[in-house]
Amino acid sequence: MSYVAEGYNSFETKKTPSGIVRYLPDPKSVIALIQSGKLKEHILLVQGGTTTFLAPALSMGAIGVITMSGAPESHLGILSREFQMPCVMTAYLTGSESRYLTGANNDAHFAAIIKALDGKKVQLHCEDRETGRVAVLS
Amino acid sequence: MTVLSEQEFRVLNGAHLKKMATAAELASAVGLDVAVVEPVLNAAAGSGLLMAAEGRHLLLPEGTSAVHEYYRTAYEAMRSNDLVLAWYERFETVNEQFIKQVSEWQSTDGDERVQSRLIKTVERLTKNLRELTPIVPRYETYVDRFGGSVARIDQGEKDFVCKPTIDSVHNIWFEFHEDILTVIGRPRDT
Repeated sequence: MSYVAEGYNSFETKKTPSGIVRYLPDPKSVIALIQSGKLKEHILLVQGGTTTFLAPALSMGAIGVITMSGAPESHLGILSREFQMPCVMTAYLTGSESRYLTGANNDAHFAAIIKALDGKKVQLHCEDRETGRVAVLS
Repeated sequence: MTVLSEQEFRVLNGAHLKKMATAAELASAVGLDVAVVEPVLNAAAGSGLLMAAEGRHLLLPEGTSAVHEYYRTAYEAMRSNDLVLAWYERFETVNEQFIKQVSEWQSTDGDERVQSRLIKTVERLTKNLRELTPIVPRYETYVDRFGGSVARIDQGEKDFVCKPTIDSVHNIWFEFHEDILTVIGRPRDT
């Protein structure tokens, strides 16, 4: 299987959730997704690892998350392990040299990941201890 | 823009910080009677400030704006108060330590020594919070909640370390962190 993106794995799990990636830029988009009743059809893509606004989606049963920054040692990492919800953190595109840099302007890096993943059907693979992977299904 | 009374602020701020909570959970978290909390939630739902789903409450963007506006007005002086800002800088260090300890606790299946260090960190924050309660009296509720949950952990109820669906110390910490950031007017990382 080829992987389009990978990052830190929040925890080892055999779960392989799949769904359409939905980029969530703000609290409003999280609420809209919950209200749509289609939360569980999506893998959620967010920018940060301390994403407080994502908390309602986690408690409503989100199936998987990809972040573009942040570490497994973060509030979101802790919550993902408690909810046993696979979470790939500080993901980067495997076909690109671009990586997240702390303190730098990462706008172009984020934009490239969003462009590559948003709206695609993907599956998360988090069985490895260190690395979480994202496969595109269609 | 909706202008909130102090009581409305306390209830809706609770909903803002807890994200998805029942009226009873909110009442307990903000130190008010559920008979006081419910009418505030119902009125806020009626005016489009929050939504209810399966008995749980979540602020809508207009509700969040009203809560943030209350913070701006009530805590304006604190945003340039050197004592408060220095307190927050010290908190950042303790916060980093806490997050690491919770992660380590999870990865060691609740190792007793890690748990003991983690509780010491919580107690350190509780002690430090006493420096802020004269300026922000409602922070007493965090002191009480931390004390209650640490007592449950001491009695062997390990879920009170970081289970997200109860008043675990990680949940309380998470809420407090967002609260103090909003008090001093700093955005949280997205």
